[in-house]
Amino acid sequence: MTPRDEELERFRAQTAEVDAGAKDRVWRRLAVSTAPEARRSWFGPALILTGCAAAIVALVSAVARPAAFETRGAQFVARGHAEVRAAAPGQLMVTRGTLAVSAWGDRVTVQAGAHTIVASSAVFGLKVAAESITVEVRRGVVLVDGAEVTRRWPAGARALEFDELEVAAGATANSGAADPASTTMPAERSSVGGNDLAPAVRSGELGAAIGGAASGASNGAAAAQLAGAATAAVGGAASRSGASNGATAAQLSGAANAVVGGVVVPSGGLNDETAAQLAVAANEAVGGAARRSGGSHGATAAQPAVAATAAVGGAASPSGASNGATAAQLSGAANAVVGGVVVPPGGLNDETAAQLAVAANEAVGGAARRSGGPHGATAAQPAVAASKAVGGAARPSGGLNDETAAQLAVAASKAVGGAARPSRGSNGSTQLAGVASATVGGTSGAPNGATAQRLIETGAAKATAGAVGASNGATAAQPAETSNATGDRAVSRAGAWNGAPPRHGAISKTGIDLRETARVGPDAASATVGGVVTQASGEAAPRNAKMGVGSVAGTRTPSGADGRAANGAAATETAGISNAPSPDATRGATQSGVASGATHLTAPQPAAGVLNGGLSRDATVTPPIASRDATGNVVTGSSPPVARAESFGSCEGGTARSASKSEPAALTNALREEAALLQRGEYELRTLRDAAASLGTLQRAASKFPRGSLQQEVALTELEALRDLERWPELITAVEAFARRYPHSERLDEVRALGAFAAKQR
Amino acid sequence: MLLSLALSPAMTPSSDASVLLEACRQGDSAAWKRLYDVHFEFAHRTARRLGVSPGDVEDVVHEAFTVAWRKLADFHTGRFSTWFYQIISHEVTAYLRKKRVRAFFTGRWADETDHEVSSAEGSVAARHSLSQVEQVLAKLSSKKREVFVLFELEGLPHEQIAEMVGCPPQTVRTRLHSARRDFEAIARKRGVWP
Repeated sequence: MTPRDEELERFRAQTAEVDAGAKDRVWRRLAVSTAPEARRSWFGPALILTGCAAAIVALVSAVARPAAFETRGAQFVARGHAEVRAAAPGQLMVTRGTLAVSAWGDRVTVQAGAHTIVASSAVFGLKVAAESITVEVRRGVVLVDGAEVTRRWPAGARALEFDELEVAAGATANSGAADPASTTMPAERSSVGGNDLAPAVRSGELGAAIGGAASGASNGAAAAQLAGAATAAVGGAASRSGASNGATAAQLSGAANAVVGGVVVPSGGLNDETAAQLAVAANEAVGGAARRSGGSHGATAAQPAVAATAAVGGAASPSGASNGATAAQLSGAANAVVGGVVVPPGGLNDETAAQLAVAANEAVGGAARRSGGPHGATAAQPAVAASKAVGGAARPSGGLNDETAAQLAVAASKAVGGAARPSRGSNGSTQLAGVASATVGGTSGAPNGATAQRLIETGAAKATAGAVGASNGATAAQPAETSNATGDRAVSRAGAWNGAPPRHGAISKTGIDLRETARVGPDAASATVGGVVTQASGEAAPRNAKMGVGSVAGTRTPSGADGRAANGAAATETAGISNAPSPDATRGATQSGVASGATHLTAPQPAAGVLNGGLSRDATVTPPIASRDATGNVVTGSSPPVARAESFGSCEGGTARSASKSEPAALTNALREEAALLQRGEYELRTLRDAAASLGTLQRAASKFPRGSLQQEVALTELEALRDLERWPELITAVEAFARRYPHSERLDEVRALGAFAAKQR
Repeated sequence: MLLSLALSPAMTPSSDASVLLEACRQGDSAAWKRLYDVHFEFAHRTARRLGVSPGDVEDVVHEAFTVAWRKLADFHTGRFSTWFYQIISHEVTAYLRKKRVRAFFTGRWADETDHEVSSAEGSVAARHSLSQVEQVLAKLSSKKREVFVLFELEGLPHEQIAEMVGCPPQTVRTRLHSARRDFEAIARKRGVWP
């Protein structure tokens, strides 16, 4: 027998053996399985049918999923997968799907099935199914069928089942910000709902808040004065449906050292010294969204945050184009971050948006989105010198003209927490807070004519530095100079200034200058006039708006050898302060545009520094003694010249030059390149809809400038690109990385929400 | 159903296959039991030799008897053993197909037989022997394997094998020749024997 046969025989024998109990076990099983065929008869087909049905449902749902969309209205942006159509301006109709809505208007309506959703400056998620809707409020006020929803709305719930939801006390279906009277205010605050100045002025002292919504038109020194000396917050939503003139919205928080916490949405036009002045001198933050629908030009948006030490936390979104030194100047010298989203749908021209964060020490944390094409020195400059953040989204939708929105946050030491949305452009000069040190206790806002003077007079009683903003005509110099003067004199100066050469433009190129200025300024004090350099004309641009408490802020040296401006019309906003103004000096200032004491700027004692329309506010005014030097120029004698041309830089040929300039040049180049990459990434993402290309560009920006000022912005845009690409695992990783790197980002909640969404998708 | 069937006193152990089958068709549970007793070992042995692992053989046999009872009404001519073998072969084929699919997804294609054998057999020698022959048989095609098993292990003649597998006797010879050749080659390749 061969080995093969042996193996086969062994195998045959072993397989022939049957386990003793196997036979019985199998028989029992056969007996028990009485009707296996019956079970099979329906179970198998049922299982198959169930599987097929599930597959069909999944396929149909995948195919029938609404296409991704993004739509923008006048006051909202909606994005998601839903069947949506715009019913009317400010109104959206959603048939089904899921979308996220960011509404910055005071009353954005979304019709979802049979339910009406009204949002006031809110961000919320909305899922519309066949029989129910789900609303998840991220921020702001959202009313569903009249009831405020503060947490997730249970699926299937109807309007009458709102008992289980948290409904804000006092909230009504049609409240929102439109009607200040219906707005529930904290008991400890007083609200200013109307246009009457008197109550506002009465509440203008410390501790008063403009908590409500000013829906009416404000005239002149109206709303501004309301909060003139307020130390609290403009917590509500200031929405003017009409046009505001003069020093309006700007003045609202002009001298407030608190927060403009609400939403300032003037739907009408703002003229000179308005919106820009809003946050000027604010000691806190521009936390909300500053959105200008009008066009700005000149030294506008850029100036807002100049010198701000905190953040412009909100979203500044001018929808129009800003020219000159606009958006850039917003945070010009701010040591905060432009943390939010800067989305000017219109075009920004030279040195605008870029200047936004110029001088920012940290980052432009948000997403700078400009739908228009910025050119020149643009986005790069925004964050320069800012040490913190312009936390919100700066979206200039319209154009702002001269020294407007930019000046919003000038000198603000913190943030204007609310949303400033001037819908129209403002012109004129702003510089409201130009010199606010700590507390901008007085009136800020660029007053025009008599307003300024009145403010000054009022401020004098409180030792306020007087005119806070650079007013047209009577500029900064006036307040200080005429702290004891009369209104008439101030007015006359204003007239003189009107005849002065244009003061705009220089700033446009002065992103760096601003930064320098800002940097130099702080030497003197905590209060810095962030360098709202709004004057540009070659002739005289002084700008060194820096001041601190007790320091003479403005320093401007005329280029002329004799200490006078080369041309008589040169800008001279020197901060000459005289207790007893000399008629000559006054005349000089009036006629030639050169302020007395132009050669040597002396600061009076603590505070009262005036520069460029800026001034230190909380000034304990110690009247300086003016005297004349050998050349006949007026110098103040009692206090040493704190701000000298040497310290702030001289203005040769009218160009504002401050301090060193070499370092900023390199910095600006890098920043510009970084901003260019960011902008390209955003353009690819939002305009070309090429998320993959955008991601590549943004990653290049991140790798090339790992510590760049715009990295937070880059990171945020990367998240959007990953979202569009539906690369959920990478998105989750990126979200985690973002949270680790920017634990205090104002966008962190949104980013985390995006991460949660990605987790669900995955 | 089966348990409810009444035992027919007419059934006797001496009844031939046709009578037994007819009794089964009539629902005679005793006839079912007798038929089961007669063919269980054949079914068990065949299933094992065609490649069913010891742990699964009872399941395959159970399925084969279940099918036979359900379709017994369709059987009228020929040998029951031949017809029943076809059922067993079909069930074994289905079992091996499932096993291959399962092995494909679990990645245990090569070793599964070893593990199953080792769990079923006690002695190392027996496990070695079973694994060697089974592994070689597993490498044969199904048609060659059944011809080889029926001839080499069951000892059936070509004609009966032809009847069972449903092909001419000459085809059985051809398959058997090819199966032997393949069996030798695979065994040498795997070093089962020199």
